[in-house]
Formats: sequence, structure tokens, C-alpha cells
Amino acid sequence: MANNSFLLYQKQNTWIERWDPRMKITVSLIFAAALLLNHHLLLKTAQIALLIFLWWIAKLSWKVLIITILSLTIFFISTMIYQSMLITNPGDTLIQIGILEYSAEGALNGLLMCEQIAGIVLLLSLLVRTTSPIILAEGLEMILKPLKKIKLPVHEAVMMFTIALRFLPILVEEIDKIRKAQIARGGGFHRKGVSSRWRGILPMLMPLFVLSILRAKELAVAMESRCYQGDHGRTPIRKYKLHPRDYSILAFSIVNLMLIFIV
Amino acid sequence: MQIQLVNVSFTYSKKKKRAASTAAPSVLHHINLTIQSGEMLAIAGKSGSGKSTFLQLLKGFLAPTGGQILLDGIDPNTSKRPDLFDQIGYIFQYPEHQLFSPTVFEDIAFGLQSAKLTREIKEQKVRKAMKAVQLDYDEFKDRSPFELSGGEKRRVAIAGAVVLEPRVLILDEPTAGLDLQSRTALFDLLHQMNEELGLTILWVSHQLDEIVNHACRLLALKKGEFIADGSPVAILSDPAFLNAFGWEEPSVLIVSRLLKELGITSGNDRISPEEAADAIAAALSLHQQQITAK
Amino acid sequence: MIEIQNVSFSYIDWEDEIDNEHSSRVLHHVTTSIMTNEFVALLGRNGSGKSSLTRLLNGIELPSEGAVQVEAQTTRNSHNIPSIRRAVQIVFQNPENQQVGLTVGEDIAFGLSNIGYPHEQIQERIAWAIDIVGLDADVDRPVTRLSGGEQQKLALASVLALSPRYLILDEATSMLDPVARKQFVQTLHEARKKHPFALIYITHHLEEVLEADRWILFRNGHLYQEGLPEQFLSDKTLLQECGLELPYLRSLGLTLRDRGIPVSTSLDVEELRELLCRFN
Repeated sequence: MANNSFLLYQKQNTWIERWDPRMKITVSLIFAAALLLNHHLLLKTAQIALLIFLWWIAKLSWKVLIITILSLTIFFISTMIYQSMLITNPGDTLIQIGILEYSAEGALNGLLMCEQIAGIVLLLSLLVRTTSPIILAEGLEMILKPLKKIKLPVHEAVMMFTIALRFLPILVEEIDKIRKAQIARGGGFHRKGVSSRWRGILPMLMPLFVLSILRAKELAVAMESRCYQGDHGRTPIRKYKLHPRDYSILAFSIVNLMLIFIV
Repeated sequence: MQIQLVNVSFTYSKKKKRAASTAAPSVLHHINLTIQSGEMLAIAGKSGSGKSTFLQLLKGFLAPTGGQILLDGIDPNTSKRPDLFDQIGYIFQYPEHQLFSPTVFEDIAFGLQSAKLTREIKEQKVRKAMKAVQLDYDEFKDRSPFELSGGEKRRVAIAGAVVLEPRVLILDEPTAGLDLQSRTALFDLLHQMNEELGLTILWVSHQLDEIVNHACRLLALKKGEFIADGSPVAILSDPAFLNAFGWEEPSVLIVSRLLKELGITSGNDRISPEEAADAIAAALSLHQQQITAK
Repeated sequence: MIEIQNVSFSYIDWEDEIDNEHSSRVLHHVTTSIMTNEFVALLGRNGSGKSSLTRLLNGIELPSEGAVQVEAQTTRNSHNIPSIRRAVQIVFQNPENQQVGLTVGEDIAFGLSNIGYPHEQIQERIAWAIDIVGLDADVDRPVTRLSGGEQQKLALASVLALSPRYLILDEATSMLDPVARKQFVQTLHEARKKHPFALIYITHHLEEVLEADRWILFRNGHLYQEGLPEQFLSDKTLLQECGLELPYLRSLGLTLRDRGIPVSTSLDVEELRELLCRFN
């Protein structure tokens, strides 16, 4: 598990990856607003089609797309059931599936809701799959820069996030090792009943805790040694510049938002 | 306990292949091997060579995808006898990191919890284990394991495995991070357990002097196969092997062989520097006498 | 020059008030200095205080008594700390616990970014650092895809990028296998030839420091002895007390000289063969 396979982002150098992170985050927010405010079935479908088109542009795998949608099935089903129960208009039954009766309004609402869920999930997934988490964090840091003035530790939060990303796989590996080590000297407690397994929790947590603290201490010393002193006087490693393409996607997303008010 | 590997292979299933990484178990190919009771055996191999997979197969953390592992003739995997693996003690790298109890006694007794023993028997067993790792019972039993020195902590961790009275002890780089004194003491301990309790000792090492001085047999793994199995002295002076591992022949072996070839010593494969110097001095003075006699 | 003047050090011990007998002092009145471009080995058993001393040299910890001065700047003055840290860099034992970036490039960039290195030159400097340690990996390689030896070379690259004038290696080779260790040591000395810096080397492997200008032996938190390596090489008992063992051939060479046989101190197999064949 020491690789980054659990990170959603894989570098592919596509067009979408090169978008400025600040703009990407802003545009995603605008798009999300457009999705939420939109109650027009066709337009909403068009928006989702657009997301799927972007998915294709970003050269992301279709398999992942299908899995993402399928993983939402339970939400789709529960939404539909909920809508059938919520909006009941006896006499106005459009479709009947088993005990579920739908009025035209209920069915429409249900579909819109489902599209909404799918849209938001696709949007987020597109964002994190086409942006390195570090770049995303840096983009967020730049957007939230004004908050530094009121002493909110924006930089520190982003640094913590970056380090967590680095240490998550190490931690996962460590848990596996500790588990095996305790089983090895546990006299077969893992094969006995539940209570015996519960007793195995402390032997797991304690070393994990101690080791994490030790690592954190060593890392802190290493970071300080390499002249880290917080945000003060750092050169940004990447400089972000807004290109015409970034402005054009911004313009496009605003048009997209306006469209729902016009239609 | 005799450990037998019959045509043992380990490969990932297709699904896991994609997630393959440094920590995922490496592949092993058709291993045939017998480890007799009471052997003192070193295992060498780089990370990714399948070394860790091999050890985990022996302890039952992984099951072979082909072939059989037999412990005293029984395959614990197919005959549903996972308890047989309990007779194999496994001590991970830096085992002191797994200590967790407030006192040394409780930490060592951790493995005895599930066996429902009386207080007296438990105490007896812990006492015996602490004696085996040369820690004084009364001095250490109530101390916190966290305040001990590195070498002492490691002894406590080893005692935690020894208390279960295993017949085989596997150690993953047991001397990593220890200084000379602690290393020497640890190997004295392993030899003693090997001789007095008849424990089979398998340990992973990449310190050549450690292997030359302490192992009776060396297993060298490369890319999932044992490329060498036999006497450390023979293997570590074989140029083909050394080349494959990128190792240099230990000086002790070169000097021993040189002296043997020249007839200065007879038969000592691992001559100590002092013995070598004495033998050379004797040979030279003999030579000097012959010249003056002429 | 780094001057260590009568330095004592103890970790803050919260139980001190309860238990005054229990001394947490790890260094006692240590006085020595490290010259520009010198190669010094700090030797001693685990817990003898050598590692703690290195934490004092760049102001990570401050001495409880005495003073540490790096190029005439005391570590006690917090204004000096940025320039002291820049001059004194450390490579630690466990490569995993000193990486900040997810990729090779990001990790090297971390230090550069901290010292405010000009943005336009960062990429160039990263390439320089990768080149000088001979790391066979491109900038975007995730650090998790590096072997132990490569990770330690990366750690070296990351600190060399800051052009330190003093480099501390705190058991930097102890987690490497013999092949990787040899490579690492070689890389280090090649880099030092091209861009000289003082080397402060902590190790349990004597063969890595036989060429050092000076050895400093620590015992129980005291500076026990210091001098040229030759002064200590023949004293087996002393070395053993400090947890050290002579390489085989060195030991043989010294014993032969004791027996009155004229061999060089850096005896090698060829010399031995020649000596013996001459007589046989």
C-alpha cells in the first residue's frame, strides 16, 4: 500500500490538468451552484452530459465513471422511494412500480434529485481526479489568503494536509505490521472469541500512537533543520498564472449559471 | 520442529497485481526446502526479493498459492490447524516498537492471556522467558518497558515471543540499530537458546560478518528464488554468488583461504585476526630460521 | 568554525520535581570545535550523547549550560537561527521521517522554498541536486517508489541543495544494506570533493570513518577522547568500550605490527599475499 494508488489523481498531463487550481475551484463552485439551482430536467441533463464530456476530455477511465455512478445506486433508489412517499397525488398516478406510485410531479422531482446527486459527485470527482492534491491545496491556500489577515492558520492547515498525504500510506503499512507483530506474540488470541479480540485493541493502538508521535517528532526536527519556519519568507514552489483559457472557462461557467435563470 | 516447503509458490491474484507496491508481498517461485530442528540459519536478500513473503508464509500470515508448507509433516493451511503456526515465534524488525504495557511483566505475559493460566504458572513462565533473555526478573518485572535502553527493550520484546515456548524463532534483522555490545549479547543469547532449548533460529541479515560468524546455513533469495543454500563460508567465497548480490567477499574468508592455500594454517575457515597474525609470525620466523640454517 | 563551549544538555524532564535523583542529563561539559571543511567522526555507544550534540549544533535544541557558536553566531540568539540552520544541515537515520514532499522534486524544493530561494532558479537547483548525488530518478517520481538507498540519496540531495557548510550525518547509513551503504558513502565523498563542506559523521561502522581527520569518542554523555584516528586504532579495549569494532584487515595489520612484522596500517589482501609469497 506504499504507493499512491488510493490517491484519486493520476498524472496524465491533459488539458484539464493544466487549468489554474484557483480557477478550477471557483469554476467548480459556480458549476455546483448551477446544478443546485437548476430545476429544468433537460438543462440538468445537458449539464451532466457536459460533465461526462469533460470526463472524456480529461482522459479518465470510463470504468471509473461507471463505478462512480453505480456506487450511487443506493442513493438513487432511496431518493426515488422517498419521492414516491412524499408527493402523493391520488388519481394523478403516472407510473406504478410495485407498491411505489408516482405522480408526474413526484417522478420529475425524483429524477431531478438523482441528477443532482450524480452531478455533484461527478463534478467533485472530476476536480480531484484531474488535480494533484498538493496543487489543489495550494490553490485553496491562495483563495483563502485573505483569511490569513484575521490570523487563520491557512498555510499551516495546508502543510498539515500535505504531510498527512505523505504519511498516510506509511501509517497504513505500520498498522499492518503492528497487527501481525501482536498476532505473532499473542498466543492465538485473534482466533478466539470477540472479547479476546477486543483485548487486542490496546496492543494495537498503543504502539501506533507511540510510533506516530516518534515519527512526528523526527519529522518536525527534520523540517526545522531544513529551515522551515512557517509561512514566513517562503518562495512559492509553483507560481500560478491565469491564462486566457482560465478566464474563458470562468466566462463559460458564468454563462452556464445565467442560463438557468433565463430558461 | 521440521519445516518443509514442497514446491511452494506465491503469486498475487490478478486483482492485487495492480495495487502491487513495495509493501505488497513479492512473488516466490517453486521453493523446495527443508529446515531441520535446531538449525541456525541466516536469510539474505534485498527488499523485494521475496524474503518477507517467505517469512510470512512460514508464520502463516500468507498462504502459498501453490505447493505445501509442512510443519512436522502436517500442512496447517489445508488441514485447518492454524494453531501449529503458534509454535513459530516471529520477531519483527525493531520489535521494541510493539511494546505497550505499563510493566515489563505484563508485556511479556501478553501472549499468555488467552490461555487461561493460573497466576503462579504465568509467573513461572514469564520468569523462565526473562531468564532466557538474561533479564533479571525481580529487577525488571515492574519497570516500564519504555524507560529501558534499546538493547533491554529488544530483550523484553524477544521474551514476549519466547514465553510462548516456540520451537522455531524467526527474527527480522534482530541487530538493526544496536551497538556492538548489544549485538554481541544478542547473538550470545540466540546461540544459547539454540543450544540449550534446541530452538531453530532463522534470522534475516545483511551484515556479512554476522552471517559468517553465527550461521550454520545461509539462504540467499533473489527475485523470488533461492540462488544459494548452504554453508556461509562456501557461499560467501563463491565469486558468482558475490557478483549476483553485489557483495564483496568478507576479509576473514579471503585471509583464511590464503593462509590455507599457502599451508600456513590447516583447515580453519574463519580464522580470527589474532590467530592469523600468530600463524603468519610463526611461519615467517620458521622461514627465517631455515635461511640462517642454510 | 563551530565552537562548542562547555556544553551541558538535558531534555526537559517533567518528573524532575518528583524525582530529583533521576538525572536526565545527556551531555556533560563538552568542549570542542569543528573546523571549516574538516571531517570529524563522532563515535560512541547508543545513548552516549553524540546524537544529542548534533541537535545543538543547528539550534534545534539549546544547551542547558555553555554555548554553541556557529561561525561566531551563538545559537541562543534566535535572530541567528535562520543563517545557522542554513549553514548546518543534517541527514537523519530514517529517510521516511525526513521527507516532506510526495515527489523527488517537491522534497528538494521544500528546503529551497524555506530559505526563499529565487523562484526562477528552483527547478535548475533541483536538477543540480539530483545530479550531484547521482539519483537515477526524475523530478516527478513519488518518493514511495524509491529504494532505501535512493531515499537516503534524496535526503542528501535535499540538504546539499541548500549548500551547507557543515553537514551532519546522524547514522545516515545504518538502515542501508552493504551495497547501498557503500554507494551512499562514495556519493557523499564525491559531492564533498566538488563542493567542500565540513562533515560531522555519526556511525557504528568504523570503516566509514577511517579517513576522518579527527575522531571524537563519547562515553556516558562525556567527551571521552579526541584525536587522530591512528591514536585509537590500536586500542582495542577503548574502541570496544565505545561500541566499536575494527575492520578485519585493520585488526590483522595492527596485530602483525605488534608481532614485529612490517606491514602498512592500511593492510590489504594484495599486500598480505605479496608478503607471504615472498617467503614461501
